[in-house]
Amino acid sequence: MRQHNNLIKNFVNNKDMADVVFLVGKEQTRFYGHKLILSITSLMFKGMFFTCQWKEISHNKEDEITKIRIPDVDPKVFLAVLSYCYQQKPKITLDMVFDLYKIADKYLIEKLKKVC
Amino acid sequence: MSWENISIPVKILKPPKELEKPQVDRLWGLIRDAVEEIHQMNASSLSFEEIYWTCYSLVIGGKGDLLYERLIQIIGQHATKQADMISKISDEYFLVILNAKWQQFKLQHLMMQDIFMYLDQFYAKKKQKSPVFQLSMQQWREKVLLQENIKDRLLKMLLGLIHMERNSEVIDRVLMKSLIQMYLEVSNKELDFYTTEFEEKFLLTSARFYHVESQDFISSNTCGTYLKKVSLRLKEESFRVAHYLSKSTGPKLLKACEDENLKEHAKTLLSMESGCLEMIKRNKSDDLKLFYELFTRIEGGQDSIIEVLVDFVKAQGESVVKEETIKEKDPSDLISNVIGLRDRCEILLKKSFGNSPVLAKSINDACVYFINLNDRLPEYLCSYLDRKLRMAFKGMSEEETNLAMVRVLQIVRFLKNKDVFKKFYEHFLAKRLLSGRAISEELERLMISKIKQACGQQFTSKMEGMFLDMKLSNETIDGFKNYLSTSGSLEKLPSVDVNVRVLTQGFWPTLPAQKALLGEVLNSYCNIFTEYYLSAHNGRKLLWQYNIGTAEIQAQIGSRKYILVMSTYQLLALLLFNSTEKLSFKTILQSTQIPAYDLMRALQAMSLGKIKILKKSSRGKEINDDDIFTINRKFRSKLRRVKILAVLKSETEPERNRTREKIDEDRRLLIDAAIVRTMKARKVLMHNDLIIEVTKQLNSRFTPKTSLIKMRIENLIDRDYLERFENERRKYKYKA
Repeated sequence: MRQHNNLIKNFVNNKDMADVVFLVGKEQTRFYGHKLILSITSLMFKGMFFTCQWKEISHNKEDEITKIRIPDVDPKVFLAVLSYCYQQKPKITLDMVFDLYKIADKYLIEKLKKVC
Repeated sequence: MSWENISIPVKILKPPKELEKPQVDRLWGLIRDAVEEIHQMNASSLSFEEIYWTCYSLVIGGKGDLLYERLIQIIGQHATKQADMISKISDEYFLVILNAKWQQFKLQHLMMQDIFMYLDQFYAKKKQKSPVFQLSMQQWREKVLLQENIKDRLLKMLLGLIHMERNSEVIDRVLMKSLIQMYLEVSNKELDFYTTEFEEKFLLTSARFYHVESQDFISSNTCGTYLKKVSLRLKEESFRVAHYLSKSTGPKLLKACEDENLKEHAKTLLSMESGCLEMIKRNKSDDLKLFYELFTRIEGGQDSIIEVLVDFVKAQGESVVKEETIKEKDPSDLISNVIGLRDRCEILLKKSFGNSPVLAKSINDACVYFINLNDRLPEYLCSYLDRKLRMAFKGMSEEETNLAMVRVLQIVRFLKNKDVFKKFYEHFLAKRLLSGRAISEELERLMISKIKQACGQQFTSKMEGMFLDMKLSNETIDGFKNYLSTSGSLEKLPSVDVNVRVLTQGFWPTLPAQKALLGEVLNSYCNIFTEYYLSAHNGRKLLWQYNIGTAEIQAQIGSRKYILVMSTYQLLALLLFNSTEKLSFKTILQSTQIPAYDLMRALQAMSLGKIKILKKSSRGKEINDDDIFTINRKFRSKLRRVKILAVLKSETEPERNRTREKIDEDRRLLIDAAIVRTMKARKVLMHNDLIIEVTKQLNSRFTPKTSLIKMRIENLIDRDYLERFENERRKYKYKA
């Protein structure tokens, strides 16, 4: 399990095989993600990726990566959420705990919410 | 981490502010537009992120109520619009369009379920309201499926299609599946829409359909054809369930079909001319198999088959074991028929009734019934086996022999009075062993081992004892011959090849020891043997049984020499003719002192059978005291070795009665033992309890008659083993 965790850690914000990119915050910082893994942890992501009907996905040309804008979140906090989705182990610092809680709530990541 | 930063969280922790009206209106406007787009199938113009965020904002802004209520409203409006449209469609396209619209509606509301996920999670769940998707299903159910122009039409058309399919027309099963699935999908725990609106009505139509069909079909077809059709129909219905109905409908549907097709007509099917009984009679195992398979599906079906089967086996058995079926005193046919019937049952059980343990038991019970109808059957069994064993199961392979034995033993297992079988078997075995003829020891031992398996070790102990005696006798006789040649006693006597069988009393069926005058030579041999045997086995007592001995002699009759094989009695009679020409029966009787009946049999065999060594003065079969016997000088035979063993060939009436008497005596002893054993253990017992206990103990050997047990109790009271209580006459006490 630990080995597995170490292996999957390498995929956090890794462009390899990524099928979604998030443009986060005012600076539109790019974060790469994998739909399948995100859907496992977050109900919201699951809903978003489940049908291919939405604007984010359906307007894609073939092979083009899905782009999702998230203007209202601090990139630092987003990265914490992202790595939680992959490793299920939260790295929480006190300065971001409330922001993290808010996102966990919005994105329907129950466990992370509880940890906060 | 620095603790100075602690001021930041406090700011964020404040509960989110309730939204102001203008803001709510703006956000709701976004949602309403988005739902409209979805209903227009324009979702691709919408950003999931945005709508999700809008919904999220409304919920955390405390407007979950408002959002939820208004959503119900617009979904309802949409559903109503769909219903209006669908209801106007002509019958031809009605189902197709309805299905297309339904599929669309479902997809739209699956998407809505995703965007309103936050509402489901943090509003509906908390307030224990249905999630958004269930709301949608409810709206479809109420606004579309219950619409007056849709509800009955839909049901009628679906049932119509199924009716068509039952009449072998091809229908669109995919469409059926999708529409019937729709009933299921709009159902929920509280409201089983599928069952109430579809299934119940479908089951009713199905029952009505088969009610009509089965009445019609049974009146114009044989049972076999009818059942094949029913079986096919049941298969079709199972496929129907698999293709487009709910799994839960399966058992109900099949039950409805079975009730109409089978239960309704059960009586007819069992008793009709081509029905169950007829199938059994004609050994139609395939038809019967189908009959059984179908009937076990209905309540009480198996029992009714058992009833027919058991009645048949009993009736058939009764006619098979009737004494009248015995021709020329040969009971082999009777036994063959019993085995045949049992075999037939076995085959039916295997081929038609799937080796059902319940049916096997019923068949066995029926066999027990008819096999025990004829009191002499155990005896016939033994005589049947005797024939087979004497011929060493001629013409049968090892496997067939084995099977034949197993079959006989199946019958033995059914005997209530196994003790009768035992006695007669011992009786016949003794005869076979002592007849002096070659027997197959291997087969005899195999048979005994099988009896042992069926009836237990104790049952065969005497039989095994007999074999042991035979073996010991061989050793003894070898020793004796050695003794003769070394002791020199031979010189004084003419050489006779003496063979003595020493039989342990108790193992062998007792025959009354009868005296007879042996004549000088034989007497000397007997004396020498007695002397020899007692010197080796001190304290024993030898009783000679001349009546079952055999002899081989060389005789010259006319010009030819023959070897004659005969019984000892015959020999004794014949030896007299060495010195005299003519002898009357009376004289022979006096000179040999053989019991009159036995002597008569012996002389009959020599003077009336095929081989006439002696001539009798009078005609007819009877022998009178004054009849004169002479040697038949004209005797001729192609064979050099001539057997005159008629006496031993068939079971004689006195012998049979003797065996019967012996059985009765044994039973009395066994009952006595059982009574004493029981009373010794229990000390005090009521009459009825004692009877029950004794019967139970003896049941493996025979079924004791109550009257006999009563008699034995009386007898034991007379002999002071038991006594009655003075004040309670039906209570016994054991007297130590």
